[in-house]
Amino acid sequence: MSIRTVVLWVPDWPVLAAMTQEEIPADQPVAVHDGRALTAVSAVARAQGVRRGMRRREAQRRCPELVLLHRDEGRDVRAFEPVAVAAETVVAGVEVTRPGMLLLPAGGASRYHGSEHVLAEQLVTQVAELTGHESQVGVADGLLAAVLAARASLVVPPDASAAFLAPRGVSELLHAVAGERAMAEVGAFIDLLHRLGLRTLGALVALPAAAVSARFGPVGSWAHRLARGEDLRPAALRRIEQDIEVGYDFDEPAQRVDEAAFAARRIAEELYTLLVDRSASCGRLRITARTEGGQELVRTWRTDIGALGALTAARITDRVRWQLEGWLSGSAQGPEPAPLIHLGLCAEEVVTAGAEQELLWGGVSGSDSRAHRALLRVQGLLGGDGVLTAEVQGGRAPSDQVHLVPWGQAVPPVRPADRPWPGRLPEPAPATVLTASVPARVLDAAQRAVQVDARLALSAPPTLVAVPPEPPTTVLAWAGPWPVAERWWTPEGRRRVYLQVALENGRVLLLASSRGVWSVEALYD
Amino acid sequence: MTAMTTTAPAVDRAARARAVLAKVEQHTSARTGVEAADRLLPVLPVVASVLPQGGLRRGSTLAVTGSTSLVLALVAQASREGSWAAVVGLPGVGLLAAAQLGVDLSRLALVPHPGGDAATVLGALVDGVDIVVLGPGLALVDADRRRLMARARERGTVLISAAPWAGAQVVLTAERTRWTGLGAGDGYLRARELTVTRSGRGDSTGARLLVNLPGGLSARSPGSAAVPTGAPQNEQRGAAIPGGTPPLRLVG
Repeated sequence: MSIRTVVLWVPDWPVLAAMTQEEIPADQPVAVHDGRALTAVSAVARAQGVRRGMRRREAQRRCPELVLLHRDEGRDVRAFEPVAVAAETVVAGVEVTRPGMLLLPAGGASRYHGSEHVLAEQLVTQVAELTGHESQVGVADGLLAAVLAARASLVVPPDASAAFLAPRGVSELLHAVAGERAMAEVGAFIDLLHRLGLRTLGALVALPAAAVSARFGPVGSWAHRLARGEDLRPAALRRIEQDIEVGYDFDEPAQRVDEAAFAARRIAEELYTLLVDRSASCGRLRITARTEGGQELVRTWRTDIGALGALTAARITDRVRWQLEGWLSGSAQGPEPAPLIHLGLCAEEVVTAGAEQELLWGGVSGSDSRAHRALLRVQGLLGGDGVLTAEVQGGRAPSDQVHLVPWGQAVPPVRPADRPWPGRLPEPAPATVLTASVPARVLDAAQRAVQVDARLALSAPPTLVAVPPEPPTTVLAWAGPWPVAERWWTPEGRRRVYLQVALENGRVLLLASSRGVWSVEALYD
Repeated sequence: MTAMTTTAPAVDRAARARAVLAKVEQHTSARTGVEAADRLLPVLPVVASVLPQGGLRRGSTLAVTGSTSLVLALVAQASREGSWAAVVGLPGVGLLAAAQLGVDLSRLALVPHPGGDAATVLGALVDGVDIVVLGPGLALVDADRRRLMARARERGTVLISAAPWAGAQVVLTAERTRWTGLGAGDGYLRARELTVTRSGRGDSTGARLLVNLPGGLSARSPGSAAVPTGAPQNEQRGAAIPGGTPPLRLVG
């Protein structure tokens, strides 16, 4: 039950990735650490006695010129992508088991290239030529044997994997795991095997599989299976779907929405046909419009909540039209309206049709899709910005803490909500937040305007509040002043002083003073 | 001990059998189960007794005036339990307050400015959304309103109007909101006590009720944290909320 497997391994990948990014010459000793201990060490550093798992100070004592870099898993993955692409110039599909290691089934590829040796040579050459990284290739039956073969640059003959593995130590199992937690779990298991006197993989395999499973659980059966030279699962080959992009260049710059919508209809149909031809669907749709002045207006729509075959040409056209209408009419925020010279559509997150990941309990429920349909309909009547959804985000004023997005559009919140936001107004929030603040007058007992001085003290307690055109009303109770100075280091900085007042006419207001002018921000009603 | 263990499942089974029977009766139209529990959308316990049936009856129309918080509190529980809600023509609705009262914002859609198409927009929403909140100043004539109510009745959608609405089954008027926690330059608004008058079709009593709305679900029991500001009221204060008994009493 084992598949002939090719493993391509780039030694010390985290260090290599870090060195490439930081542009450190190869003759420098380098190590990557996670704040506590070293997690990867370059060959030069290893020659000077630096080892993985060492404390930083210990490593520096052994090798004073050692360059220490922080661990960054994102960097490892990003930097490995070119290597995967280089390997894909030789074979059609690969599985990235972890940054630094690729896996692919040998059968078809080695037949195509002539032999396993030629395939290995091709892979090493292509990766070295295209990315400049030295790599090692191993071929064997089963995952563990192939990984160990790659570490030794070997081609293990067919059906010889069990014999190849048997004399090796159980600690070699560690090379087949990825991820810190799995590593720790397997490490503990290996430790246990050592204490039991099972020092080689052969000794482990000699035990009955059922007994191993009964005593050691899933880790035990996993190890037993690998040590036998078998596979856990077939390689999950990646099939990269490129984003599909279509565009239209206007001969004459388009001035009116209907001209643009006409072009949009054409490219929407083109995109739809392309998607159908590739039997793919996409998770997001990006619409780009470029003006004569070179400005770009880009919006991204999620297609999953559109429900009902979300991507038809007509629906794409609608989205383009809403976007342009809001823009060309100058009502929406964005660059100055100008004639369009280019319109582009791009299907992002392209996946093979039928391969989309659904929610665990199936897709959207009946009532959800009913609501989606209704909201789509309203959006069709009022335009894209007519229907909004909200999300709570970070901020201090009540209006800042809500992130409003046109329904269906993919815009992440600007400010994270899980930060402390000191100076945030206390709960409960006002139930009515005025869209435009209304000017008000706040007077003290002597009918003078109440001022906030430089030390943020009120000139006198407020006794009367007048919100024109209503007559002044007596203040029953009040709290404040609460100063908030936001983003004062930028031009759009804001300094405000908040006041909660309860008036005699039953109203409870949130007042704000900015540059000596009072205004009503919200009502607690 | 043995008696306890044997009776409890027996009661359980009896209840289950009754529920199944009721369902079958409804299914075969042997009984018109208008008052069945699944015709009611749940509301927060603090506002349950404000409504004649302790919940929002599907297909009914409510007019709630005088307090936006009360409107949001009525929507909160149903929204949390999976119902969709839409707020039409209320651009100033405090969404943070809504979230703090327990409204699930991911199932809340806002149509701040429906403009001249209000009737069509509301028609579409009534078809798909469980609760529609209508703001004041929507471009609706009386015929539109009647048509909307009929459609809502047919679809089982709850209409909550934040403005007076002719023909509403339940009319809730928040006459007065008394806040606690605010002093003379100190404290902050903590809890509120609403005096709500209920009237409506077939309800001529004009019951007056007190509702204590917490600041948020995270807020502590409002009565205990409250700092009374003014003179003690002649009505008994609703400070008695020990251990979550409903903070609501009939006072007039």
